[in-house]
Amino acid sequence: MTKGLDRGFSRRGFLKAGTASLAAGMAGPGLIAATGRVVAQEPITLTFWTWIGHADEAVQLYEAAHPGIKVKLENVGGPPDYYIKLQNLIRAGSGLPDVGTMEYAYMPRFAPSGALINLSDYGADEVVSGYVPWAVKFLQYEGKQLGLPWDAPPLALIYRQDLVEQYGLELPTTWDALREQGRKLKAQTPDVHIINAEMGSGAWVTAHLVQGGWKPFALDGTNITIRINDDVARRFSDYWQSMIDEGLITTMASFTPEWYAGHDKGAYAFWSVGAWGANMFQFFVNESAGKWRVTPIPQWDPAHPLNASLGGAGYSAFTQSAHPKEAAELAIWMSSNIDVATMYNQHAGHFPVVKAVSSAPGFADVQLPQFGGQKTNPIYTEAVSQIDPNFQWSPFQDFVFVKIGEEVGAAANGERKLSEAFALLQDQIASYASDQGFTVTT
Amino acid sequence: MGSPSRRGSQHLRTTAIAYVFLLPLLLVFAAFVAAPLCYTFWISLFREAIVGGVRFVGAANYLRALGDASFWGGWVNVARYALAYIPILTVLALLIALLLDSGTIWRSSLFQAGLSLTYTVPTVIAAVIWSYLYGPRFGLLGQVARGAGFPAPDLYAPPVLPFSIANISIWQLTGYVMLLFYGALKAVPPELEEAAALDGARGWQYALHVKLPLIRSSIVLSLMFSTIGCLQLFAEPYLLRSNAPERIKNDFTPNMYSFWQAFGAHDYSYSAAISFVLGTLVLMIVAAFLALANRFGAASK
Repeated sequence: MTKGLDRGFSRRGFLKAGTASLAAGMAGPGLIAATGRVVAQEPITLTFWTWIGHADEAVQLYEAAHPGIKVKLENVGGPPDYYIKLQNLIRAGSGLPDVGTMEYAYMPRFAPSGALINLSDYGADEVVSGYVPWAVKFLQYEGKQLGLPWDAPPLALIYRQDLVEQYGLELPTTWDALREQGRKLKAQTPDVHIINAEMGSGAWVTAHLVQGGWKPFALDGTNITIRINDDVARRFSDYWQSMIDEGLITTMASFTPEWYAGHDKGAYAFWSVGAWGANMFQFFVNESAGKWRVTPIPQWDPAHPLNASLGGAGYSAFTQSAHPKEAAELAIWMSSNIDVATMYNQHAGHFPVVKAVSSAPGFADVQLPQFGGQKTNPIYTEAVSQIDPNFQWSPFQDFVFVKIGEEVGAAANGERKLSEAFALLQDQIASYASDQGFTVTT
Repeated sequence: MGSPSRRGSQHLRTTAIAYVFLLPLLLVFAAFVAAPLCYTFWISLFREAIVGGVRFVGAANYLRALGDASFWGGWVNVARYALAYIPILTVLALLIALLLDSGTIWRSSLFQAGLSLTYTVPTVIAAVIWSYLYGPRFGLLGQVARGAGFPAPDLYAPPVLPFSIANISIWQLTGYVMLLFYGALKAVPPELEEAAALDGARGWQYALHVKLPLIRSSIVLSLMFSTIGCLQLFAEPYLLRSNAPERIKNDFTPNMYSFWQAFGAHDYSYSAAISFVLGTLVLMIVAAFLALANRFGAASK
């Protein structure tokens, strides 16, 4: 009897091994076509991780169009915890979702891991020709399209119409003009600041440096040039240092209870943020509902207008997936579907990367209730065109963001001058890069 | 000649049976304590970089930890936190426990339940609650201060910060520690009070000279757990960090620094080495504390 059992097991084991090697040996288009019928009979469930609001609506649209596929939407937390989870699951070799959100700044960290599916193998190249080019580029690595973009969030100033009118402020077109308005405001009231500069947020500081033409990293294989403390950083430091010294601004971290209350209760006239700012309204706008408007980001040099992407994300499919083809197709669909992009724009102001959406008739006339019916899309359309497609993130951008937030934030709090923070950052980040095996040029 | 060997085999059998009963515990210990510890030590001997991958470095990570100002700076913060946290928590919990035990409190069980309610609040929620209260302009404490004509206190300022963090832990844990003390006080035989009263002791004298020495072991136990808790400080500052990332940096406590090295700087090996140094130091401090407590105990007897 024991013998029989043994034989049974080993035979089953042999059969299993045989099927596996057969599948591995023949995993070409022919097999996919042959097994397509079988796959269609059993509903596939794909897991999709994102923290972005309205994703449930996008999933409903997807499921309606794909009867054989169920999507399990999970919010496992936002950055940085989300990326810690991804990093751990890649190391563990299992547990990743089929598809997940991937921010532009984090792609260089995850691209070399081999955990991301090259979406070009599943038809990505056909859709990207109709995309905002810089967003496509941010998710490429060594000629592979390891993700497809979803939103293009350039900077703009979101402001309080009521406060601007009450204190007779003008909408600034240059950063100097913003400081002038800050002085005008301070002369009238101690209760309202012109703006809160989110110096403790590395992503915020980075975007505002990039908007001034900052190019801190140039990566060439394992050689990296790091120039953090350059003229752009010095201009940034001098400008915001004067704002701090004159008492025109506060510099607290964003999205804290204090930040939310301050922006709802009229403690700030302006808020500088990416196009996703409107999506944050759900978390704090109560008494200020309907009083917010949008105006373009002030420029350093109006003759050469620049913008930067604050955040910005796309979708990647993971090679761990049991259904790589379906996972890749889900990522591509979520990125390219016109109804989904339109939904995100009309519900939360997210600016689409799909040009078919942003050039469609009526797009410029979309009125967001968050902005009292203002037609904001034209502002962001122009802003998107001002982003430098050649900007390079570092391959350890999460580390860079945290260090910038700590050092620039501490300097803004009075520990030292902002300019000194950038000198420190240059040293810290260059030494981290060389610890990580890069050949560093400064 | 036959008898000792029989006794020997009997002894062997009893030992074997003992091990059979211990086996489940030993297996769990091996799987969830010993194996991870060994693995942690193993990876602490390597270095992993984005370029170049993994290589063996021997004790290099440990040498780096010994000279790392970020790592040792965290110990200063922990010490300042402990100086605020342990005395206030212990004294407060003792006072309340004595008060409840004195029988002068109406419906004392209500107070017990009420005071230990905060223990049921998860630390995550506690940190969120207090981050609302700590806001300088729109937080409750700031508003009260301004209402009374004072400037709003900056509760994240470096000298105040350890107290602001300790306050959250004290708020959460006083009720729990109080219950621990209260339980010990309940075990004090009531006839001692009569005897003390006959000897002319007042209420507070009885509490101080009779009750407190009798619950000494509970106090020592609580102090030991508080000390370990301080040395492993992580959750409260980690959660408050989003409110003031420029004040509560990633090296604020040794535990936070270890977490940051693994998940922020992606240096798992160095993180493992830090964990080992931290664990060893915690063990040594606790051993020293227990030795001290025992000597004091012997002296008082």
